[in-house]
Amino acid sequence: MAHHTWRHRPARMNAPDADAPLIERVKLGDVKAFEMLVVKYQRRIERLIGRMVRDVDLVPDIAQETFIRAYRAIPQFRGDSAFYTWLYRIAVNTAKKALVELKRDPLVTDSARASRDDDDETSRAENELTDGETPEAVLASKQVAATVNAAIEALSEDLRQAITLREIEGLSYEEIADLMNCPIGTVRSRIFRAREAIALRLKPLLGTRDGARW
Amino acid sequence: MSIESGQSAGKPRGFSHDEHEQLSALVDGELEPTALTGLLSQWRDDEGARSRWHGYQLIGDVLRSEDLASTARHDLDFLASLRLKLAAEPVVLAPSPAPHSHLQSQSQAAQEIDPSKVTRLMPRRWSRWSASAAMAAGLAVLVVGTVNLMRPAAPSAELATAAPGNVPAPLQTSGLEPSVQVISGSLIRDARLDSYLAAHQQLSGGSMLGGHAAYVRRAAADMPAR
Repeated sequence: MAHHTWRHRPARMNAPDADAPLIERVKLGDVKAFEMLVVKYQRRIERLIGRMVRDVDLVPDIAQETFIRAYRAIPQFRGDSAFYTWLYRIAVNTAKKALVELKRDPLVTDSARASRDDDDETSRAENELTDGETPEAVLASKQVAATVNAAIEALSEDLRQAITLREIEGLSYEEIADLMNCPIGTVRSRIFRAREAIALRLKPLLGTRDGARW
Repeated sequence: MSIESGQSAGKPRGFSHDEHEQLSALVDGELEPTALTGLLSQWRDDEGARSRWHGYQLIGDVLRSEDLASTARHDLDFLASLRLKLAAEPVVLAPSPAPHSHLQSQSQAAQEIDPSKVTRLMPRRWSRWSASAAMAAGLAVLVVGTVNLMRPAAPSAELATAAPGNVPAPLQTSGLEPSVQVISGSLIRDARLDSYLAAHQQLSGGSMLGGHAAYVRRAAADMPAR
């Protein structure tokens, strides 16, 4: 599977202004625009914090505190760095602060105590069930990943190339258009169609509880 | 459980195919700024669009790293909880841009220029000046050197002690009056005067060509005398 070889290459985060339109909207008081940024970065931030904090039950709380701090500070965000870089720093600082407070606080959760009792990698792996996820939830996540992979394989070559150049290599539409020798509008359309095709396959897995709304 | 707040009373008309494509472009930061406002205002009221946004982002995350795979339920619970906290926060309002927003944005853009680009640009401009200055200085050194070589040794040494540090000594304080002699029909000027003129040419903004021509004439006048 060709995309597996690309996956290990770090995505080129060369577009610090990719979030700029949404950030500007947040600065104008648009909370929904901030929610869009949360949906975009929540998984990455949770993974980052999960690698720093042994108490897996604290991960969602620290991640939420990270976003709240970011929301408060966003008027001061000048765009000197990419938004995610800025958010990443806030997450690291928030996690460090939480760790300091955790040392002061004798009341720690069971999972934190368990990870303190046994620091080897095996116990770490056993505690990878973060934020109260059940084994079923972990299995569902693996199904999501498998479905995305299968959907990518099923795409036409043009669509697969366009979506992987964008999502994995981090190229701009213009760069992809140059590489694929086609107009930018075609690139935009191919990436959209690729996403729609993958999302269609994911739809049965992404159903939410009755009444739950995005 | 409804976690959406501020839903409009009217039924949203739903996103069109083009608007979904615009949403996809927004994921990549490639949406035209003019389309953003309309898209966001409709996005507020369109459950399907919000669900799509999550799906698009999740697909990108999973493509980059499988361990970012997540369930919609988990992500939705996270957002629902965060929404409650955000509701307690004061609304973020950055200072709005001045009427001359384009000028301000240009100024801001100038302030946010990558320093590495600035350092790449400055030497280019500086090199243009430095090349000219170096050429002029080289010519001056060549001319002065030529004059010194063709000059008798004693006066040159005398001048070197009279004007240390290459600072031209004022003629009236040198103790020796510059003289002009005519020998065998050739006009011979005091070498100290030439040196002074040479130094003066370097310091003044006068034409290097004019200064150079003067010494060429001087050298031509000297040659027959040798």
